Amino acid sequence: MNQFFKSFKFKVIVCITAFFLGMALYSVTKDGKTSEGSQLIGTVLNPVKRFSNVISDKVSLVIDLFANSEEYVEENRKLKEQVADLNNRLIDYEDIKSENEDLRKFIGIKEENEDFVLSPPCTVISRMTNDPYGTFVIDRGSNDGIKLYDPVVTSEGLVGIITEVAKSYATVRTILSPDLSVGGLCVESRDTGIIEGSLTYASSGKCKMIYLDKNNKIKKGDLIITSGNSGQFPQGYVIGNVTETGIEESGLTAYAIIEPAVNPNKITNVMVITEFDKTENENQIPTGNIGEETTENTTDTTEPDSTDNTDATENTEETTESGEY
Amino acid sequence: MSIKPMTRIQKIRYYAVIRWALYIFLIFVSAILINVGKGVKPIYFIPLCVCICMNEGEYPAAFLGGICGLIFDEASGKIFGYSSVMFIIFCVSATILFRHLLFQNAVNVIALSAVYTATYQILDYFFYYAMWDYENSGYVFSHISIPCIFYTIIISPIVYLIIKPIVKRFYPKKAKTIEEAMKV
Repeated sequence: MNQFFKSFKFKVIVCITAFFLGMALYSVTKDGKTSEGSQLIGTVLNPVKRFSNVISDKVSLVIDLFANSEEYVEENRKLKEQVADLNNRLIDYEDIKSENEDLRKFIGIKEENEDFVLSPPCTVISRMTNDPYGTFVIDRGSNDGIKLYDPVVTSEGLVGIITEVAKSYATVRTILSPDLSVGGLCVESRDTGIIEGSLTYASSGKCKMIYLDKNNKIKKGDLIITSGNSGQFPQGYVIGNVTETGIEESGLTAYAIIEPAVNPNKITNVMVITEFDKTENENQIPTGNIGEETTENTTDTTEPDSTDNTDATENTEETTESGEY
Repeated sequence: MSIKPMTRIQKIRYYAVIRWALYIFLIFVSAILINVGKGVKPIYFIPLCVCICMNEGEYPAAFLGGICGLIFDEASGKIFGYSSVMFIIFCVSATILFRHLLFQNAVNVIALSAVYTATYQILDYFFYYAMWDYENSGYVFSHISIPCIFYTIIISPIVYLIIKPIVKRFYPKKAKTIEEAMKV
């Protein structure tokens, strides 16, 4: 075997390995742009991925229907109750609307979305193998106007951001990932915080809202929307509902567990917001009594521009220092 | 008009083309399977590479590792080329080990696949999760890495049973050993 290590063959193999290592290092320096080699492989494999995904979805659906039929009946019953409950709430909605002009901004999200420039509907063509955060690939890329760090949404709520763009496809990092931080605002209590993914909750499709004031008034079922202060995400877009609250181990801040309005592991179609009116975000969010100070302090941040936020304050600084970004 | 029988060299080339066409088909199938489903999946490429490398030389092993690594990187969202480097080392070392130290049987394929998958998963866990000090990063190891190793070990004998007849049918016969000659 020693002969092998002295042979010409070994040197050639080392060169091949060095080539691939070089390629890996080159990919790292591309900073979100898909390298040409990766694009080539990706373009070739995309039809394969799409085919795999179709098979996977069909098989999963059939198995799921057989295995969970009872669960669906129960879920259907609960949803009907929920619809009835929501209809009742809707009756009160008009009164609340006239009484509270500011609150309308957050409830009537669709009214505010006229400024959005959306990409064509994107289909999820594959999910990253063995990825705990549900990262996926969509079938639209820079050819369709999609840019790095564009927000990805569905009509139900925020899904994530674009973290890698090729010409004909793009990779989406979901809000379940700890590498993505979104400034969040509780509609009911006006408390603000940072929403981040966590490995602990990613498996159950939930994320965590951190840096909440200890005296917050967030409760189970409250709606969380984007605060949009950084301009990275549109203001007032639905993120999810609170399922649990608590105090951090340090005892300094509180947290809330959020169930996203959209489960990234189950979606098949999304849209990318390629442009939105950022001037709206510069307006202060009308605040209630509790979150007044923290509203100004909360920012949506992602890896690349976390240092660019001029309005970064204690909360975000703390996050950056702790290496959460 | 009579058909000329193939010379030995022509036969070797002919078999090599068919053999590699089947290998490429299996790599293609693995590329499909790796994208199917949403849960934890085995790394089909590792046992496949180990089985193919049992009978191939160092150069084909290195290229095979490189290509399989790139496909796996693309499927798993890793840095493009990261898995290639590891797969090249796995493939070349498998070739050398099978040539000098190991018998070509299912047990060795399973053992080697297990070692390589464990190595890959540990490094993956370290570079992608532990190193960044994510909260509860041990979850990934216990719920993704270990099941992945386990599933890969389970599929290793199946891959071996697929590759074995290909090798048996399309690998040029070597000179007979004394034992084989004496049996005849």
